[in-house]
Amino acid sequence: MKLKQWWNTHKPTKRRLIQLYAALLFNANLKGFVNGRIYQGPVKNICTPGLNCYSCPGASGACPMGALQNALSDSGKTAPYYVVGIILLYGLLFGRWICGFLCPFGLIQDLLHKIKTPKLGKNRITRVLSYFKYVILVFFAIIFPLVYAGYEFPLPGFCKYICPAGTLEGAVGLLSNPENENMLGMLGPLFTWKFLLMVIFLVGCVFMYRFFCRFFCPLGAIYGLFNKISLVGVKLDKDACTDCGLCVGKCKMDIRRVGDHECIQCGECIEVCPTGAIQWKGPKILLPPQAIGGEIATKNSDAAESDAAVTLQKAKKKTRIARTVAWVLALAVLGGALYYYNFVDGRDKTPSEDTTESGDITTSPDGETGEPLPPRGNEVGTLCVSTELSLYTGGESFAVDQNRGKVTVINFWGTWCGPCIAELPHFEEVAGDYADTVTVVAVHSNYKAPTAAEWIAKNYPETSILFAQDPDDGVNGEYYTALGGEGDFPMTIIVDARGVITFTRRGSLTHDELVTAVEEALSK
Amino acid sequence: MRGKDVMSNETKGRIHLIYGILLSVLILAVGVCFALSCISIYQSGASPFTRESISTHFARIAIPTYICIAGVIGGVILSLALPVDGGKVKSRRDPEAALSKLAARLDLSACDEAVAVSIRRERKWRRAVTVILWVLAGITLLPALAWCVNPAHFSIEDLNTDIKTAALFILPCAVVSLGLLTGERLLRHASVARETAAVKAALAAVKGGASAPKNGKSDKKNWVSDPRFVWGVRGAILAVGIVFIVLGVLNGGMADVLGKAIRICTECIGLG
Repeated sequence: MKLKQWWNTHKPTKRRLIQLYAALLFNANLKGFVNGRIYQGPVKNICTPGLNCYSCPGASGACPMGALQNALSDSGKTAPYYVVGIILLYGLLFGRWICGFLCPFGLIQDLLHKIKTPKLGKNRITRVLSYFKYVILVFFAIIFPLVYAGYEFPLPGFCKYICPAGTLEGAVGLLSNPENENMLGMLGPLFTWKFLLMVIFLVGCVFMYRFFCRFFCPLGAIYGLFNKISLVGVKLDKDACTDCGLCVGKCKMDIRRVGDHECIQCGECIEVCPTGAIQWKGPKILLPPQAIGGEIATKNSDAAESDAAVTLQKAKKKTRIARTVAWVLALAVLGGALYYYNFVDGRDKTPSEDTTESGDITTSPDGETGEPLPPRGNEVGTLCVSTELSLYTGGESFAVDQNRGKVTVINFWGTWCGPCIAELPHFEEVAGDYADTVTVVAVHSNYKAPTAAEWIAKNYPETSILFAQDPDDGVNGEYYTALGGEGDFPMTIIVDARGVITFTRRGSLTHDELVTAVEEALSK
Repeated sequence: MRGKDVMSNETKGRIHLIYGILLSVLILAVGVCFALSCISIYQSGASPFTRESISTHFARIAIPTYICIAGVIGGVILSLALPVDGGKVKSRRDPEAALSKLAARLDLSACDEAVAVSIRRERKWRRAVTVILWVLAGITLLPALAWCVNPAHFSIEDLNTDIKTAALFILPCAVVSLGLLTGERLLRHASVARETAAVKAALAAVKGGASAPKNGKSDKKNWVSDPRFVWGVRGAILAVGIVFIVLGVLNGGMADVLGKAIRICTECIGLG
């Protein structure tokens, strides 16, 4: 009996079901959680409406905030029309209803706030503090990417230094998978900082409702600007409103009135409004029958009661049909998405499969030195896979097998990758210091390759590095994939004079780490 | 006998509160433990890290973490065993909205001259405070803005230090700015309270019939809430949004989004 009573008061609301649905839909690549790889298919060019890191193994689309920052970083070359257009449309359609119903990180915050502890409520100070998210938006999400765009250096300031969704869904999601153990090598002060911030945000959410949303989320700040004109959400009938303040009292966000820029349009205030002044926006067929009933009663105060009852019955029937159709459609979409991401689109297949399928990769062992060599592979101790790479600088082509007798440092990079550009000077230094014994090859991923030559000519006009181009495989580059790359850049592989791999690193390297690894390869 | 007869709602509420406080302490302690573990892993200097080295550090806080999880589950069981009535929703009236409704009923020209002057002065003062403090809050952010748009303050070589310096410059400006806005809120609230008292007194004085009360609604036309204006804005945004998306597809912006999304952005997730 008690259980039934508890269930009646605690059963998931429609809002919670929609939140769960959205979280599953935006993370439909469930196999990514098993194999530890992100989805790399073509559908990922669509931005999801909420904050959902695109480096999360389950992510089925791009994060609008990350995409916006990268587009701003790239604005020197390509105007960020696409992302801005998508954000405008999402804002127009939903406003902050996205925060209340569709954002997966919002769901995490809501669930944490359910933990039975005393809560810190809202007040005039928290209302003012809610403006802090605009400071984050302006400085970290707009100005920093734009300033570094001048250096042709992509810097997603909010993602890199603040975003807890990226740390939780992306970093922790990837690192917790045993398949990604080598990523642990990348951890450093930045991760420590972001992990600390994530812990603060998550603990904060237990005590304060939507702690991150209210004070820090730049995406919510953008969507808040659309709240007044969004097509979906709640609306207030000012004529029917008596200013009783029950709606603001019920709301846990820092609103001053229903539907302002802080309102996440959750609709919880609708049930406490004594005059029915708060209603859902949208076509009548989507509205609950009681809302329509109220409207009918108001409009037809003189009409016969029986007519009103018949009309209400019709409205109820229509609503029931519309709801059933909507749920069937929604479940069909979810089922389709789960099937597509997990069974149809197999772009994120394992590197070993790619290696064996690739026709251009030399896979037979080479016995030039007469010594028995290990089999070809992409792990430490195996003979490095070799392929002929065309060069931007310093000659026509290069292959690891042609460089036997010297140590080869292969660095996979891209002009679009901030950490890659930041570590290139270390490689330049090593290439100069060890010119006689070491060859450094920086292999540019095929992505935006046409701009790479221009970038290299401008930034490394005289260099000891051999800048090469990775053959196009439609995703990251053929050689990169053959050497075990799974979409994370930079990646460095060091091959000793016999052609055997002595070191691999997925992620950035410091100068000291690089020198140590090179010395080790030279000693073999 | 049913549970609700045995224990009053207040007693149950007290039990929940005590449990909640204990759980809060536990959650805070575990949060601090996680933070300290993370710092100690970094300070151990065991780079490159391995699953073993990280597991060793986190193993130390395993027991408090399990207790914390048990505490959270215990909270659910407690709410099942001793359900507490949620209580009534507290009203949070917006004093300014209440004042504007009240003021709409008052005809200032029919009031006592001194009262009318004091009400007008209060309104002017409030408007001035709002404008001045908002402008000051904006001005306070200008140095941070000027700092950040100056490329000389940023370099690629020492990126993290530059961003840290910028953040340390932005933060005090933001704090001062938000402090000014807090001041504006408090002063405005005090002013609204003063004017509400004055308007109430004036309304009481004119009850005899000197001032014909209005229906409480402002006659002023609000063009921002005019449906035609709203639909016009919606149409414009829709058009701009669609045009931008088409332009983005044509100029390669969509391909750029895909390019970034299908690669693990190690810096976006904090790996470096």
